[in-house]
Amino acid sequence: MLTFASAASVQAGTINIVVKTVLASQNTKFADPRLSDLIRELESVFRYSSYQLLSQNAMNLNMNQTGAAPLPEDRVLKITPARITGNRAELQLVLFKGDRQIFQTVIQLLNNGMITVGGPEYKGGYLLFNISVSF
Amino acid sequence: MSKYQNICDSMLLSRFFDRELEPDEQTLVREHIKSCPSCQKMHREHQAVSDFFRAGMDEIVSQIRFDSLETKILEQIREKQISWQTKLKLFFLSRRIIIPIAAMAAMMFIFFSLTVKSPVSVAGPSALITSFTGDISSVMFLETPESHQTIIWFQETF
Amino acid sequence: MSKINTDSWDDAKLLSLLRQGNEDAFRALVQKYQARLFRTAYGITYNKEESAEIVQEVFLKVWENLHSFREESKLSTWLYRITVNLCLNWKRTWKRRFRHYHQPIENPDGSEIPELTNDEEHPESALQKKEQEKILWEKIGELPEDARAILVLKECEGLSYDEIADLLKIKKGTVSSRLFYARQRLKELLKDYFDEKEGA
Ligand SMILES: [Zn+2]
Repeated sequence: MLTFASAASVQAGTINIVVKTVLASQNTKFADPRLSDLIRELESVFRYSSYQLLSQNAMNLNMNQTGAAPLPEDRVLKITPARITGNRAELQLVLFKGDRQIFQTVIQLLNNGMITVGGPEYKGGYLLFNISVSF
Repeated sequence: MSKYQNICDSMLLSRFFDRELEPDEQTLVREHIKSCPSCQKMHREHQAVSDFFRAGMDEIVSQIRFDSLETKILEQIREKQISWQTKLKLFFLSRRIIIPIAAMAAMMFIFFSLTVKSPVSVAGPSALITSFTGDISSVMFLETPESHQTIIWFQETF
Repeated sequence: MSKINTDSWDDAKLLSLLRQGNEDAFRALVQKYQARLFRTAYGITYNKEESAEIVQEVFLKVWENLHSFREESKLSTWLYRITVNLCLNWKRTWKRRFRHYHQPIENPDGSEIPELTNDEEHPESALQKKEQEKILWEKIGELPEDARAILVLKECEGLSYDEIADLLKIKKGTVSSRLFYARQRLKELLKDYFDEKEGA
């Protein structure tokens, strides 16, 4: 069961998740102002001159409820919160491209923390998926 | 006086002048000079040469603005420290370059399966990765140096 | 730049603070030694610009090599040693020598030669004297650099033969004889000047 969640209202026991799809490239020099915090963080590891926000998906999920964020080139990131352990939310992330599963991972993400998943080449740059949670 | 064949010796006087003789020798020569016009003259010349040289050097030194030299020195030290920090930054920069290249190089087209047991730490990385499985050619787990934001970098198979 | 109050800091105290990376201690070190090291460098190089560069280089080296300083010798000896070595091995030594042999009258700095007498009552003779001193000062510049190194360390810095021998890594007897030779040369150079002075 998939929920294409929008900016849903916050419910008790639910987790707010935001997925930002970013195109990082060397082509131009551009820092999307909506990404300023993220860029500052990424710049300590990556050397790209341009960070462009392609899309943003916000979802509000219950435990074991799966949300999906549509990504470029027929990719979909499915996110399922499993539990809260201390100040971390355990999430299952599964990335699909078409019908094919690219990877699946289980992470424990800090409340108000974020993780960036990246790598696919896209339009002369690389795609980054930044996932942040709050609960 | 028997200690020296010839006490009117300019080499000896030079050492006397620099107070480099043994105390008894020093006394001996001092006493001798009092009664020897030739040595007195040598000693005066000695003093004059020394004065001329010192005065010239002091004059040069007095023309130097040492406060600005000090500022320059401190600036250089700070630059050195900065260049050290730059070196550290370069280390991260080189890691930046490696990320995509290493990923490209590691195209083994294998089914990638990995379980990462992250250390238990509350103030550790933003995300602990407890498992990772994928049909990908490579994957890397990184952390930003300052606020420990977790990054997963993967290379899809083609 | 404000002066650091270092009245209670001897070299040992300074050194221990320096090793803790204390910047005030470093400034104190610079303030305490920069003029002395400059004078030493100038005595050898006979060039203000180079001497200033050398002094900067000395302090950089000190900053970088504090950890390797062994307290077998005094801090000041270590500083003088670095200075003298830098002067004698300075990259533009050849240029300096070239200048000395090809511009015998002019001061290598192109600056005013130190005025040693203040003879305002006789402007003409004062001018003559000044000219003479200029030539003499230039002639001192023709002494071998190692001889001038010993001369400046003895005459200006007041180091003992033992200290000079230690920092130049030569025998005490060599210090004594080179100093003697340097002074003899100076006496010869200054002979007429002093005779005139005495006769005047
Ligand atoms: Zn005598």
